[in-house]
Amino acid sequence: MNQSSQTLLSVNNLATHFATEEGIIRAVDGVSFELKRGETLGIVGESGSGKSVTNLSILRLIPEPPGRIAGGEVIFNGQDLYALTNEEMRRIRGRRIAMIFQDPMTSLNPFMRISKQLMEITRLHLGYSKSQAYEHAVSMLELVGIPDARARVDSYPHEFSGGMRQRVMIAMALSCEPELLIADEPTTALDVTIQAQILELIKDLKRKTGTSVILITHDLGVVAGMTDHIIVMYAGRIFEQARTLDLFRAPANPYTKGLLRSVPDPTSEQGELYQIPGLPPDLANLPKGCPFAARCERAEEICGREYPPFVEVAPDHHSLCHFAMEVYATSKRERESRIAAPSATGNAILPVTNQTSPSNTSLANENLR
Amino acid sequence: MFSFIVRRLLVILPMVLIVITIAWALIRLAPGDFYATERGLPPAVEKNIRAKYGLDDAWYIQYGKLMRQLAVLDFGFSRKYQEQTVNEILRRTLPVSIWVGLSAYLIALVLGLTFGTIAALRQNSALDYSSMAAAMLGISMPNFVLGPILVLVFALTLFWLPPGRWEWVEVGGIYLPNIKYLILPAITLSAVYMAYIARLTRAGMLEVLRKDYIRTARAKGLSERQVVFRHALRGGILPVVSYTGPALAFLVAGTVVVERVFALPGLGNYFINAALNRDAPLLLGITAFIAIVVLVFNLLVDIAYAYIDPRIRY
Repeated sequence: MNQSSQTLLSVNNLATHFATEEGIIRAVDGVSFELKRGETLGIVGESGSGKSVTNLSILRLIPEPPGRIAGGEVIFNGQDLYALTNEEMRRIRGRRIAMIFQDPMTSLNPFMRISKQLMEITRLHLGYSKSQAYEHAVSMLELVGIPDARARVDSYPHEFSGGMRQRVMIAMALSCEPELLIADEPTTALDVTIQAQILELIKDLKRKTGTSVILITHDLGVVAGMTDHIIVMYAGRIFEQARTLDLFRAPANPYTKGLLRSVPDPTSEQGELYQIPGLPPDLANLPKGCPFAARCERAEEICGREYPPFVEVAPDHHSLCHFAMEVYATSKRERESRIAAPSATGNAILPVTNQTSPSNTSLANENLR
Repeated sequence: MFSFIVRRLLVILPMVLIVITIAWALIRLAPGDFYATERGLPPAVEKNIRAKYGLDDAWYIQYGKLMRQLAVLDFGFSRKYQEQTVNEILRRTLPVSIWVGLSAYLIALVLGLTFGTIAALRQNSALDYSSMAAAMLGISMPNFVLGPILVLVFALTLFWLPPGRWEWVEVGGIYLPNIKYLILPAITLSAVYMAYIARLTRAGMLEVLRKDYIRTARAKGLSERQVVFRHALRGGILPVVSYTGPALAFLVAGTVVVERVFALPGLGNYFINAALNRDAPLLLGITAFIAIVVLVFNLLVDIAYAYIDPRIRY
């Protein structure tokens, strides 16, 4: 792949499999993307779409067995992470690539003081002395906005609220000033007001430190305001890949359109919230053809028969669909007609959600019943 | 924490009282007494003795006397061993039991924790399967079977160790057990607990190793060793800690059997004899002592628990 000096991380054709009793689950199946320095990449998708596994695979944190990285390469800063020894990999984890996890209630060790958990990482990677590490822990807690940090640094995790714990996780992740921060659904377990604070904090710290960020979420509203690029994943594959603005303006994949429509819109007159019909497929027994075909509104006979192509619908905008060009064109047309006749709703983040063609709506309602 | 300890100590008193009362009632309710032997004493002699020990007093007088004895922890003379008080017997026999019990306890803890942790870290390996199979065997085999087997192999076939009895050796004014006599009883007694602890440790570690915070520790770049010892072990051994309290009670019961098998001059052996002889003072004295030890030990376990898990506050 082209290895420009700007590229921090490049993932090529990554495949991660899990051996289970029902067979081999291809949790990640041929995922490729690039991340430039200072950029933020959003990865969205439903539960089980392979978002988290992709990122755990980057850090080589897949539990083996049953997991196995079946193929592909991960180039970080020109270095092939899969060629490193365990020892070398450990020096990258936490030091150069840090990770924040979904549930701050369980991601901190309940038996260890916050101070110790924070000191551990700087002592390990930066060789800090005990007192240096302690001071650094206090200043990190101040940085992430924990009031009275010095007095609270010796608390145990259970003495902190969920939002506070996520702040601690962020402080821990950023302790060694990593070049890449992977945030795996950092706000999913938090309530809405805290979510906004945490996202604002990540944004703010990213600006201060220049860290690249991969933000994993199933909430499109979260990625909209924060990311430069978005990857939409489904069944272990990339379904759509585009610059954030392009994706929201003109989604080229029926799955993405479905996701966008299922974001709650408080200004909507319609009482019912849209949901994509059906459930994500069983990854152990994927159907022939497009894995989304059974749930897709646009599906035709070919979708159940042939695997869809990964189409470049516009520069830097790809979609995995037999009808990618057509869906893209429809999205563009819808957007133009919307601009021509502006709707009353002022949903700036998600302009697509309000506008659905009558046929789509009736089909959705049918599926909901 | 301090008030918790005080409260728990206060609870121990009525608990001991209840245990003793039940033991006393059982001795009274059981048919026969110390003097009901086959040969029988001349009626006049028996009458004198019964009067001397107050055996014909009303039950509440006898019970009141017992309470007075319990209050000062002095149960007077044994009936069987006429010239010795219960406390003298305790003092003489207790060291043997403590040595055997504590050795067994330590062996069980050290080996149980080691094998359990290794089994968890190498889950589904040959090592895991073999140590868990051995643990299953250890749990299933009663110590009165294991003891004679060990004697048969190591004492009567290989002649490495004595088959029983006990010996003190004096080292600089301190009496220590001759280790040759200690090994077989201690191993026999420890087997079951070692097996239990190994299984508990394995289960606990397996559960903890799946926790999110272990993933966090790995994502920090810690080595597997640091992950296990710094982050996993504490949570993993919590089930073992809760088990150590009840384990001591079982251990006391185990000592009784093992001391019998190896003919050790320990507390357990005297306990059995006291029961067989209907030696009420000795029986009640040992019962009271064991009750206190078990209760105090349970308190220590609870304190240790709070120390290990900071979320627990009393």
